[in-house]
Amino acid sequence: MSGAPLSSLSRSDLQDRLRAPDGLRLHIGRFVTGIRSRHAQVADGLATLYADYRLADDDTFCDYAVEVGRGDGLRTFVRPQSVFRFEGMQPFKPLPGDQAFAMLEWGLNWVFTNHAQHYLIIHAAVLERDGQGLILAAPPGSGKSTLCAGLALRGWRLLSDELAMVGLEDGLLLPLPRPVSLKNRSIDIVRGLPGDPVIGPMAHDTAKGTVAHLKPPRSSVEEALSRVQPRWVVLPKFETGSECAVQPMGRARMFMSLVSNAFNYPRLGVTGFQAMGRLVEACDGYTARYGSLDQIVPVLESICSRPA
Amino acid sequence: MSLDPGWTLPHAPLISILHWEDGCVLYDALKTSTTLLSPLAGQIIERLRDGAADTATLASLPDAPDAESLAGLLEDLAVHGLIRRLD
Repeated sequence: MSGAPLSSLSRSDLQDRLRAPDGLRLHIGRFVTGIRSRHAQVADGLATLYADYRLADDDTFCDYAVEVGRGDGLRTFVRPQSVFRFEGMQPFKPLPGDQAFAMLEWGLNWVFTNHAQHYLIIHAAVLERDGQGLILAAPPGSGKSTLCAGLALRGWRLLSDELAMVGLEDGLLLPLPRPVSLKNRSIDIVRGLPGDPVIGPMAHDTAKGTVAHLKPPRSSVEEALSRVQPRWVVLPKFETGSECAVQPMGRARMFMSLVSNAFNYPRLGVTGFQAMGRLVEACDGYTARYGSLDQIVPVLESICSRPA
Repeated sequence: MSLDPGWTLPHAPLISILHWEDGCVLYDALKTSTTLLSPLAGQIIERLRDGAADTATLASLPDAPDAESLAGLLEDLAVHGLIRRLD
């Protein structure tokens, strides 16, 4: 079954693997991740959103082994919680049991962000078209993931909706395609887009409101080992009722904006400075304020159609 | 004899700087800080990496402003610890 997609597992096989000591082993980008959980919602979410991810051999080294547990003692049966664990750590407070899949996604974000230190990691969505990478860098609440979902459903290759991972040696973007995190109104907006969006389990009343995830395109998952040359950096800002305004951005300003959105830039020292410099040198930068996907998508597609 | 003892760049070997049209960014490996500077400030830092220089020398840089503006800029850079006045 190694190398086969997760969709090849029956529901009971999937649950068995999730309960096994080594967990369900999946190739997620270039990393092998072991996932353990007894939450039915985790199995549901994985079956729906990770259907195209390849299973890893049992003897393949597991880069990251995570668990979404149900809590301790009686609570496990009476009112299960979602408890994320990684290498003996419990980095988050427990959440209600019906937020188990969202907890898995947030936990994986935390694991990759804090432990994949061979890369400069920036809080950004990353997509690719014609072999060139578009980085949408912005803090939460900027509409980044909604825009990312809209572009992915139009055929852009999804590298990530959360983490731009820039190689410290080659400056290339490492794909880490995973489900796109959607919040509140954006869930229905994306659900209504063409491109047959598949949305996973809904988590209500989270700290971010209602959260759900969009299944990444199969082609993006299958191309997850193919690195990409960065070409454009856009700082998106969604504002209700806003006109669309896209402005070029100088590279010094682009550098500082990316630093403010980077997770591990301070930790990398001068190596991070140099990597950020190469990234900025390779890219054209823009700020983009917009009030709807209909406004911004054609503008971005026009910019990203121009020859390098 | 000049009354201006000149300016120097503290721990110059630990300073990295990148220049672009809209400005430059300076990385100080000692403080692990990154600072956005104007193109002129970047020129001054770059010149001081080659060694200490007095204000008159810095005034001869291609985009140097009038003496008063330059003096103000040098003081600002010194206040932020990016350059130091020689004793």
